[in-house]
Amino acid sequence: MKHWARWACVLLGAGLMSMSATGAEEGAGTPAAAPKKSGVVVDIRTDRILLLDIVAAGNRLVAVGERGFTMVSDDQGKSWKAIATPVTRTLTGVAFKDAKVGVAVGHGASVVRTEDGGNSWTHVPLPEAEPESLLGVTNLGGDHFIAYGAFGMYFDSADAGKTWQKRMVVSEDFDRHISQVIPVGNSLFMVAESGTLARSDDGGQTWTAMTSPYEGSYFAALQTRDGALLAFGMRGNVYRTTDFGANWTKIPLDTTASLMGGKQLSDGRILLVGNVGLLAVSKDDGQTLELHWAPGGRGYSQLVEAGGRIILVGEAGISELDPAWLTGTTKAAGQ
Amino acid sequence: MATDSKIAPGGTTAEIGQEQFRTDWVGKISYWIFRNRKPLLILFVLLTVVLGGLASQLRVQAAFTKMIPLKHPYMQTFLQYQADFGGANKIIVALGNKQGSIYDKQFMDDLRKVTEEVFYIKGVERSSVTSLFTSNVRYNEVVEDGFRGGNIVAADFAGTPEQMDKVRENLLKSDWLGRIVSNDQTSAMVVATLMENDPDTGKRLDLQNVAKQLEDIRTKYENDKTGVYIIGFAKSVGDIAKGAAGVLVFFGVAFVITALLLYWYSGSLMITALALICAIVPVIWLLGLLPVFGLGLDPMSILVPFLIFSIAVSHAVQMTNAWKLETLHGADGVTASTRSFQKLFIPGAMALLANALGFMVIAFIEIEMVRELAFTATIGVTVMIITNKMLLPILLSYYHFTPEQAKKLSGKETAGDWLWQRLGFLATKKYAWMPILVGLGLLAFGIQQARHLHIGDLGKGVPELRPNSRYNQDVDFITSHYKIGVDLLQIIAEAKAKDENDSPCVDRDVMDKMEDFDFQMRQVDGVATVRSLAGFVETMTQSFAETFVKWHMLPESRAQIAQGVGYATRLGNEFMNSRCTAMPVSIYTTDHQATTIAHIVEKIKEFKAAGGDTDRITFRLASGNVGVMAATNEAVEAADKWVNLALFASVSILCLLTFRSIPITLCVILPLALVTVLCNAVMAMLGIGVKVNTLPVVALGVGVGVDYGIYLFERMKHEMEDNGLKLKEAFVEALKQRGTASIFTAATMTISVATWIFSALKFQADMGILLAFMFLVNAFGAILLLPSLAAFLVGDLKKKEKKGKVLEEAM
Repeated sequence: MKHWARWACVLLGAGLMSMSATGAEEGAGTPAAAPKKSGVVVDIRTDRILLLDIVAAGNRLVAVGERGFTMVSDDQGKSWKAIATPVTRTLTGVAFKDAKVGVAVGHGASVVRTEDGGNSWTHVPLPEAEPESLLGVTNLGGDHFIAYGAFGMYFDSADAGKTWQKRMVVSEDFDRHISQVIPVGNSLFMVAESGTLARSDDGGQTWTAMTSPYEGSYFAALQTRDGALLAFGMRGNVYRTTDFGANWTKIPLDTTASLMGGKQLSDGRILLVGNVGLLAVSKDDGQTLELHWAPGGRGYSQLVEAGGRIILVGEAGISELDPAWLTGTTKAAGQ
Repeated sequence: MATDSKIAPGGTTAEIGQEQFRTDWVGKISYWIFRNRKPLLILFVLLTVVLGGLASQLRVQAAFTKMIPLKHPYMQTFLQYQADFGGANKIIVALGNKQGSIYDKQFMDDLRKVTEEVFYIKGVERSSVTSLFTSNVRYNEVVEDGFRGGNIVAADFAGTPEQMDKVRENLLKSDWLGRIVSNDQTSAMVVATLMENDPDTGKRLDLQNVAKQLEDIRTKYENDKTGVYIIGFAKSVGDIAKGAAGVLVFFGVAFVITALLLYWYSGSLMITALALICAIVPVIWLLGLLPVFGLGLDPMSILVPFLIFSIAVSHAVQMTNAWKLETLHGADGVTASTRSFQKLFIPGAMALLANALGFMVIAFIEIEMVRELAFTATIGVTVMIITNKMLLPILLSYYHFTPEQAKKLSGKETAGDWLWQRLGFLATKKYAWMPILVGLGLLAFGIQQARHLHIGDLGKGVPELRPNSRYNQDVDFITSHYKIGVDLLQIIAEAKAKDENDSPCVDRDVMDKMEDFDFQMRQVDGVATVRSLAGFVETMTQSFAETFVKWHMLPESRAQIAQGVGYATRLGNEFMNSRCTAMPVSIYTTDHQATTIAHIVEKIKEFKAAGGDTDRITFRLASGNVGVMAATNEAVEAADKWVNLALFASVSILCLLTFRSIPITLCVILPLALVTVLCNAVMAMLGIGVKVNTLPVVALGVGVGVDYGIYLFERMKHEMEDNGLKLKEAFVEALKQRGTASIFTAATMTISVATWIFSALKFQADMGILLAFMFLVNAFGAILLLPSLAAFLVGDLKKKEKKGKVLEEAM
């Protein structure tokens, strides 16, 4: 258009204007600030990225996920900023020692650490793990971190993630994918693939297999404030114990969708999240669960509570839990 | 032999003598024509009969490849992979239960029947038919010891409440919700792919016939309770062709209106009939010639007959007007004819040549449909030179009025004289600044508005059809109820195989780039969803890992990637070709506004430049309907400047040749340029984008609009140079001779194209609005602005010494 307009101008002896036909670019959506990563030409949107884990680091929230990106919020999840890490593999877990020092792990033996609350990340090579996947990281107090993942891989760091030592778990030929390890008192509790449960009473030096009430895979676990343990995972299976695994009770949940993560909220309720928008709530320390579904049917992997808000992460990036989703009795997996 | 022009009433018995004619070449042509008027007339009648017969073979088509810029690099990609991924010619028939959910016996019965009917539509790839009632719709679930699955609707389904519950349960386990059952479970669809060729004849599949069968299904099953929503390329082609053919009805309307106006204007049935005959004959010839050249009519070129008709009327009116004025001054039929011919031959032929040029420059746009429009219109104008310059004068020469009779006819040829007399002041320096000032004001306004002009389409749905057309309403229903996008931009990721046995799509580096592309494209404004092989492999990897979300990832090893790719091969060619060297990445966009498309394309190019393209993988633009629109928009934008440049250049040259004067040329061209700017302003204000269909409008408008200026100034020049009139008097004189006819023709042509506004196709309606504007406003430009410009640029021309033998006398 520009050119013909100019032509018209010349003709009209008025040659003083130029036109633009394509108009201004529209600016829809709420992209987070541009990350610095080579080859990335876009601003990362908070709802278009797979995020797999989220934790609080001081007043900041840090989520990790797809292609090595992290998302941080300094206002309890109201606004987010994307921060790139040096790795391009998807990050699966993140843990902080305090407001500044933290470690994130992921696929392709990815380990990155930060000393400034997640503003910048450095790559920590872990050749022993390559090229396998790390599925989670846990801070056990102070500089003690553990990272774990596929085929029974288990690493221990005593210097806040700078160096790592590989540890044998359960036995030489243990090859189950480790989903999560949580501290339980002075012990550690591990949930893993195909009905694998284990505990360590010496900070992870040695591990003992536990009897499992279920042969399917566990994807996560949590300890309630009253001391009960919940282990959950495939096809809506939730098991509860109050005596560290001597006796397990199956908590009924009428769904075949899988559970991926959970937390106890400040008001005492326990919230478990999972695939296709699965939300399971307990008001009695996990003895019973109510089933709900978030609209949209997108899967969640973890949550965090901040400033009275519940922030969910998952397939559709960041979302805030709407209290209305937990009212009513939506039994069927609808929309 | 000397012939007194006053004898030979009716002209029929008059002998044509050469002395009557000017000695220049116009005179010679004129002599030849009138000498052979009888054989010529017979020839014309025969031609009309033959071509009329041929015209009956014409068909209205809407072929896809004709509508796209095939030479554009995006379309090269599109054509290269058409065979691999061409299965995009899908049809969707959705049923909606307006009173409940799909879990209803009547609804399920209908769905089953519609599935069967779609199955038996000729041209449907039977194995592709997909609905709740086909065996390819299964659910899979991950259980503790592996996978379990089955049909969503069991073979023994009879519609019992228990069975309904089971269907609901299975559906929720599957990934079909949102794909063949609507998100709210009130609607379900049947999807099928069409074959390229008719299985019986081997010829290209007749999409209009498919569209008709689909419409039959709608008629059969749609009622108060059940809604039937049909979309797909075949259906849209059918609807477009139907809408295009519907516009022919308007031809009848335009014809009747024109006839009435002609009669009102000329006051003579005979003259009206002659003008109409000479306007309809070129249309018949054109329609007859099209099959000879192997052309058909498409939604765009179907408008050419209207144009030709109205242009022919316009020139016929100039001719009959001149003829009648001659008659009023006492000339007999033949003399009046020959004089009119000689007076009008140069300006008329020049004007028609300008029309033809205007049409030809449209061919700059490398889109077949536009080129055919250019070609069709050029043929039309060319035959019009014959019919208007030969047939009409010959017909007129057989007819005769006495001046007394002519006066009684009470035509309106001189009706404007009182007005023309008063407009003389426009051609004086004292007052000329006023229209020029107004013109400059309009120019400033036009430029201001035209800044908001967009390239491409601004609406939703299929742009050719109106937003409230049934088809676009169906698109709206389906996109709002299903997780289905209809606006698809497909990027072909080409990967190089290392050797013959290499499947590059299992290579981690190749897939990493694709994962990166998928991820980054998801972030772009205007992108709704992205589907790629990398994304599919990620999803499959999660499924193999018992749906643990942390395994939603691209595996490290070739073997593991191959596992996911293996599943993709079961889906046919959605994600890759058979050798796995080309992998389409489907980007569904939120809409197909040009700004949206341009932004996404820009981001893709940025991605490619920032390391996205490597020596192993290249991301090539583009296929899918949005890919086609991207290419079309770019082609239109690129052609726009050339079309306008070539248009004004060629029209200017033509004016220079006619008038041999730069100032006069400027006087003719400048009003046209102003109207062109104003036309762009109107487009911006009405939200009409520069598109394949609107781009030619300016060229058509200018090509036709230049007529007024040429006719007027030719007379002014003549009056000044030959009769020694001052500019002002020459202007008034020219207006008296040609102004009324100009205004009249502007009005008839405007009305004729304005009928398109009622077309079922938005495509044609937009053209109608803009052409009507151009035709009407150009006439005002020529009458009001041209003389003022002439006052400053041309002034009074000196009277030329008569070169003896030029016998022509004005009036």
